[in-house]
Amino acid sequence: MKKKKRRLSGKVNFLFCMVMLLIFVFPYLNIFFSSFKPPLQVVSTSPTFFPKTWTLENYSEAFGKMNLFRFFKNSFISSSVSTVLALAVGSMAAYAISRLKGRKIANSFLTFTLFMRIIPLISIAIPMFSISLSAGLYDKIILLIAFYTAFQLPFVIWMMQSFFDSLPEEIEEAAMVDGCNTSQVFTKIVLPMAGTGLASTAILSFIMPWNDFLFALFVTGTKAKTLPVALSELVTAFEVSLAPMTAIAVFFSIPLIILTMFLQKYIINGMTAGGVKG
Amino acid sequence: MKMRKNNLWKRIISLSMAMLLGGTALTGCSGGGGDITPQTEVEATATQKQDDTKEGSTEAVVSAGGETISILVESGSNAELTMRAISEQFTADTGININIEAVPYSGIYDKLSAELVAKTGIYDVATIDIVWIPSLYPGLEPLDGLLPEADLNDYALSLLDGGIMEDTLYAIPAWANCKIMYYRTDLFNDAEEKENFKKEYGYELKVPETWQEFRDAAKFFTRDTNGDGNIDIYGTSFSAMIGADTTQSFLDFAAQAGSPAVMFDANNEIMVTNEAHKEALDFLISLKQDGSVPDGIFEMGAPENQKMFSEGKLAMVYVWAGMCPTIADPEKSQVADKFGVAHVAAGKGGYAATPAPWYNVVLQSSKNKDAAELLVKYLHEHNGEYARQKGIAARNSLLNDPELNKPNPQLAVMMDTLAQPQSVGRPKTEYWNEVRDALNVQIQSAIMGEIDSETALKNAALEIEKIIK
Amino acid sequence: MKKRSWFSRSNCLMLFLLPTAVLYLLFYVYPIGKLFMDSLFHYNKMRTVRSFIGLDNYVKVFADTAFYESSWITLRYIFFCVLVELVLGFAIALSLNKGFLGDKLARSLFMTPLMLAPVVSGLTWKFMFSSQFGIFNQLLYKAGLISSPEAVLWLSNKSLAFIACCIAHIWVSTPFFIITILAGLKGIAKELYEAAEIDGANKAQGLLYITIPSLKPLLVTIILLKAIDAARGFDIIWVLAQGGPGTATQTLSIYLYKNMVTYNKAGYSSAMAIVFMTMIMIVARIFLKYLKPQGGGQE
Repeated sequence: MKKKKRRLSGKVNFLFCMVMLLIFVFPYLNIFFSSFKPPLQVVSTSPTFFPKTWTLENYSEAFGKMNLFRFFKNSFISSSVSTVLALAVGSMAAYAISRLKGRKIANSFLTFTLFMRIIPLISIAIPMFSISLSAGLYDKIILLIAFYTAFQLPFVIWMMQSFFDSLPEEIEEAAMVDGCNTSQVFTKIVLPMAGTGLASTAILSFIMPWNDFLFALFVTGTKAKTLPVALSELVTAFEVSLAPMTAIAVFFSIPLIILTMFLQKYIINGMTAGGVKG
Repeated sequence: MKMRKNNLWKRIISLSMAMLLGGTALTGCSGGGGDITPQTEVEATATQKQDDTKEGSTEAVVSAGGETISILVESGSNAELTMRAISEQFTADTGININIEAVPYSGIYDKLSAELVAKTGIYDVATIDIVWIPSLYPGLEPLDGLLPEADLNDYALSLLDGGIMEDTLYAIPAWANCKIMYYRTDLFNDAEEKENFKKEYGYELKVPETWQEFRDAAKFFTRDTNGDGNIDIYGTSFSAMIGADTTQSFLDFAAQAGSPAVMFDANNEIMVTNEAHKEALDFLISLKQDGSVPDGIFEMGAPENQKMFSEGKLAMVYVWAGMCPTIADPEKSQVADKFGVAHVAAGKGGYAATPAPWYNVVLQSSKNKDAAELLVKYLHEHNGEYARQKGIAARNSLLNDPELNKPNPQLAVMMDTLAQPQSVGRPKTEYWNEVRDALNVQIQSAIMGEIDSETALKNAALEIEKIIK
Repeated sequence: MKKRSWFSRSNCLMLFLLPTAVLYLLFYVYPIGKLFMDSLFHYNKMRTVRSFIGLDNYVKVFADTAFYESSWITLRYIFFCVLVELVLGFAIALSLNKGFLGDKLARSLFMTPLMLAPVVSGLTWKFMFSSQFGIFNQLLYKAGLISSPEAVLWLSNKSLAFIACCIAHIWVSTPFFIITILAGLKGIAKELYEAAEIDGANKAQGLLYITIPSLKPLLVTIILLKAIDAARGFDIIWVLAQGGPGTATQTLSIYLYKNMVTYNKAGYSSAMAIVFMTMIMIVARIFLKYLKPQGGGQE
């Protein structure tokens, strides 16, 4: 009887998940299929889900039309470098906050971090535009990298301190009694145990600069322009022409998909390693 | 257990290293990061110009020791296309290189206003919308002596006036634009349609010249053509979306109704509550109540309406003259071979439309003012290029060029409309965006039927007053 | 011996905070400081002339009916979005945790909303919802659920437009809940459930008394994070409706953007931004104080 119940609930579970999956994947599929439709069919008064005729026009136009490679490269560099830096700097700070819990400085730092997260991006983007001009950093990738690192810090810290909180301190204390100093403890013991936290934080954090539009719009011109800004230029006041945009959007999403698939495996494997317990 | 963790850790580290290395390596490549490769600035600009142009890689004519100036334009616009088309020739003629920076509409004003404060000289020339001139002019270079009197007369007075603030000319017109009527020739010329129309309305079907004729024709052509219970074609559509050209479209009608000025006049006297504005709003409401426009007009702006017309869903539509080339392009429109253009229908005051021109300006903070002014003059001399690229331009003399006019019937219609005395301009105010939005909200409410037109206009008047005073 | 190591440990930990502090100063404190300074002045349109007016801008903000309207819209937006995201995310995470063939693939596929740049997502949803160009209504019509493709005016009707924006936001935000809750679920020891089952508890009780309490610190964190995200949400609403029809979707973010960028009211919008941020701060503090136990997140 129990086995039957389990099988039925298993089926219901599967069905529920599939329906949800379909709903969540639908818009992306819409774009995906649209990218293969002839340009006029992408936005039309008689829309269809699947292309009536398949074509690679949008891709060839998109790649021929814009300097896609450069924008893609700018996005990739600014996002990946800043994410790695943010993870490094952020987990250090998160560890400090977690282990200094109860001390005034830790609490205020945490509150401050939360505050950073609250700031509407537009409030920073506009002064940054003037600052970047006067500092001679306008339209330079280095500024994007620096800002995106700072941009991801609150998120990384907030996520990681939660993970560090759930790591028992006894192991670290034992190691220190054995003679390790703090940074050794951090790099050799704590970080490996937080690998899973790092992995999931990494994916979610990377997406922030990858998809950022507002900030890049203000501080880049033609050289350091990122792909989301370039995409927005396709939406002109003149035509409702989404066609090249769908092709570029699909292409732009591929690295994210690859990254997710790559890191997903480790989240699953690492979870059972026992470091992160309730 | 430990082995697995080490493995995971190794992978994370190698991935991070790869990203960092890849990132720094790519940053080292020229053209992508901020590094300046050991080339002369001129050559670097030429390379970049080649990267930017969408055309094939022709040899860029580089003038050794020439300056480089930057022009800011709207991406995808007439300005961008024209600049890309002529920049090579300009460089060949003058030895000056051009860097074209194209940003979306919303970005132009922001970047210009920030630059006006920072004064770094990042842009020398810009092509801007008329509505920004009242707020930007303190940072623009006066261009009074740039063009000879005779040349200036080639522009309609109202066009020139748009670039004049405090009796000084700050902007030279690049192109003019306004709403014109597009209609389906296959519908209006059809014998059967004509017969049915005469039976129903008692007069000959023709391209509407008055508001009443427009309303009748719109109602007549709204129908379900394939019997499935849904309307397949509407008489017309108009813009009613927030953030689109809704307010300006409404003001067009107010001008047609004979209002001496739209919204408020040069002395900040509120006009929006006068008879003409009320008639205009009532007319729009009547079209909606007749059912001659789609229910979803509150999502529509000019591009959406143009798209609907191009797909055969509308019998007539008022959209920008500059959209004609798109509608006439068989690759982009299903009605390319069956439409005509005409000026908009006349209200009590005649036929009219508020101009929506764009201008070329020189920034005061420019470090190459002479070169910048040269470019503006060049664009004036080659004004026809704007028409060649997107079908609209500014100089009257272009009407005498048959080669230009034949494929661009909208040019003559537009210039004729703008020459009408009642085609008044939108108020010259630095608060345009705010008053535009305030009026937009009220127009929507009235057309939705939430409030009546008089209340809507009164509300709008109160808000506008608050803003401009 | 211990005293000494503790001393250097604390200092070492402080040093860990240093790089972060520097980045904070440069990219947050400075611009916000500038913002606060701006809020005390009245600027002309071109920001070239300014006059000190003290707290006048703040008075204006609190006298602005549109500010209160936007605040209310924002509150409803946050509440509705986060609630649905939480429930959906939790349900899907539980479902994935239970496991079935292909659940690992499903896990990755649930992340697709995050793969698209918000600009693109916004436009996709805009055209899916469109009454003339939209595929939603076409599908609903073909399924016989609505009388005509134009019957449901997602973006032309004030209430529906609000819901449409929520839907798009939920779509983008739920994957975050899914992935973090799933990670949390995986961390709960199976032994706890087995022990409970032996004691006679059923699935629902397991959920209530084991799962949720174990996840509480995590849940508090992510609810707060996503609530703040919803409050700041801009891209999607802007592309979908720009605050309209009327002011139906004009959240504080949108209203702030309009004042700051479209209307260029530098001083006024700076004050509004500061008020906005302060409001969120206060609510966040209250939230944390009452829901997150102090000292480490252990039960």
